[in-house]
Amino acid sequence: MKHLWLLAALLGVCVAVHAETQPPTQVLVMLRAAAPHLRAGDGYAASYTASPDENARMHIAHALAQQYGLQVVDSWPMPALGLDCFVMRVAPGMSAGDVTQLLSHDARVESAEPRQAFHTLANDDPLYSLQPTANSWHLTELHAAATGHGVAIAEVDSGVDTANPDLAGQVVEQRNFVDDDGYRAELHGTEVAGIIAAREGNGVGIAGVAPRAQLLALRACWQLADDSAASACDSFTLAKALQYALQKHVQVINLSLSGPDDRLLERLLDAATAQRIAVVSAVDDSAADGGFPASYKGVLAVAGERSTTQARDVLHAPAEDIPTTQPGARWNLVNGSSFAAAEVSGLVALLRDLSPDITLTQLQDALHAQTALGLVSMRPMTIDACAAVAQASHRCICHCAATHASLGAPRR
Amino acid sequence: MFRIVVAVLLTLLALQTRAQVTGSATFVSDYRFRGVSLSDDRPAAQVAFDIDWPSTGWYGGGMMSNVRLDAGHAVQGLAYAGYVQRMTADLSWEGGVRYTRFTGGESYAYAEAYAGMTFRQLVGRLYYAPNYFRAGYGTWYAELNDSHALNGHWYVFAHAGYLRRNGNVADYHVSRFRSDLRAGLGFAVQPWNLQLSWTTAHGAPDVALGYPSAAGTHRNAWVFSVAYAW
Repeated sequence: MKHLWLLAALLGVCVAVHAETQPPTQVLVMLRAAAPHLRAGDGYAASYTASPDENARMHIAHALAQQYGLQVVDSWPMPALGLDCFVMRVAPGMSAGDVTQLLSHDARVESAEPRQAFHTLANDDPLYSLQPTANSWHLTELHAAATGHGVAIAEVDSGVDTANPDLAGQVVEQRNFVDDDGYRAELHGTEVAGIIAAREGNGVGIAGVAPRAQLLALRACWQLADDSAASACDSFTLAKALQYALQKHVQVINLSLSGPDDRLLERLLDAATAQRIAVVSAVDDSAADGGFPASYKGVLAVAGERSTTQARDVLHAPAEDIPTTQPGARWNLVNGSSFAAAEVSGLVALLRDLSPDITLTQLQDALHAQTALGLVSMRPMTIDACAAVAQASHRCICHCAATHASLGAPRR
Repeated sequence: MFRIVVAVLLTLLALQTRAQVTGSATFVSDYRFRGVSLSDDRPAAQVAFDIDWPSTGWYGGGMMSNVRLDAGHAVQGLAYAGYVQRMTADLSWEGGVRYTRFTGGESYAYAEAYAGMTFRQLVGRLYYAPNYFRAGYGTWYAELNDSHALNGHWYVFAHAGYLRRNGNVADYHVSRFRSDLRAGLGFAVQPWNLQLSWTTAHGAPDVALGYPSAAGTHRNAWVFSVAYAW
């Protein structure tokens, strides 16, 4: 049975890798949308919500599809960027790259790019002994001061199962951006959700890093096999979820996934940082630069404690043997930078709870703060949650002796 | 003013390759404009078109509707052009001009300028017409519109408007102010859009504000509309 599980997990990973190495067969075509304005029918029987100019863009999309031998398969408004995004299938024998080049030079098109594949960063291989990571961050002491109360975190991932007792009541909203079917509970999304926001003190399971945060479970990835957390996403599903997170004015976005550089996602991440939203992303150790979006400016990139990544400005957090929730009333140990990122998203929620006006730069500085004395050359080191909280809130909440020594606070 | 609007529209048409054009046809059970029935409490049919040049911020369009003014049938023609700029993802401002005239013995032709701000779904605009419905005095109108998406394709919307006329109202012995409210429920599935709303008006009578509407129209009304866009 164990071998079957391993085989399924291996197959899942292989399918994800295969999807990313295949050339894209669809392109994302962005058309400009005018800002809301007066229209001919305003004041009469006009629509306030359903803008008729959507039809104009749909006509243009179909005209473009006909001209370049494409097929329109989907569309999504991206008001955060003032765009509508159309998904078009490339005809057999055509290259998505070539079509993208042609479309980019068309005056009607704002921009175009291939629809790219992404994947989550869980190893799904629980081989080590149980070691609750919450202890290293003094969570009990931290939770006496902050629990992430009222901080909205968008988890852009596979589906989250709220039937797990640790997640009951913790998820304020579930949305499916993958397909038109109903929302689905899946492994990776449920595992990440538990680490961020599992209920505390309910007698079962674990405590999330930010147990009173408001979690928005935005399903933009899909599980590849029944018994494996390996999941795939693409640039269109991720863009839809990011657009929704921007629309909901969340304070934190967790992206426990990686893939190639993508211009549309970069622009949405720029919009997020402009709104002072902290974007936390897992580092892909197999990518020299840590993978996208971890490598993108303004994103809080998080790797595991034992990561050998050479990427710059990477934060390190526990990533091995993390106990967390699974669909149903189940828990398990998980490994991977996906879960290190989830921990940091929870910690950012605590910092935002303590200091609602903290800037992204201050947040970055706080997460790099260290209470342990040592040479800079010894770093990278695991995030010191107590030091981060002390720096962000200007008060000592846990591990105070070391914090005072490090921060130069006067001893009494 | 009409020539200016047409000239602007023609200039904008020159930028056709980047234009986004949409048309719509609407059936409305009662054509209410700022709380006043321009169709004598009866149904009306309307066709409209809108042109956007999103890369420049310019826009324009026009509308035709059948109306009943002074107890007679007529057709209204309307043209508008403006400029909109997005300041942030949620906030934008706009400004423009709108020109209206009617067929028949009295054209009631007038032009007005407007400026407004939009924050998410909340829209606020201020209009000024130097010679509103050719009544011989200037008129200000301020409006606030909001909408909220419900589950599925449903949405609710609301409108509040406040009109103030200049000039002497002593002859009428009435107020120079008038307010109108509108609230309703909508159902939108592209390209269709259905609305049911309740509208009411309070304050100065139609005649004091220069409206040509037939006598005896009601100030409160339920309005149903079906619009089809292409």
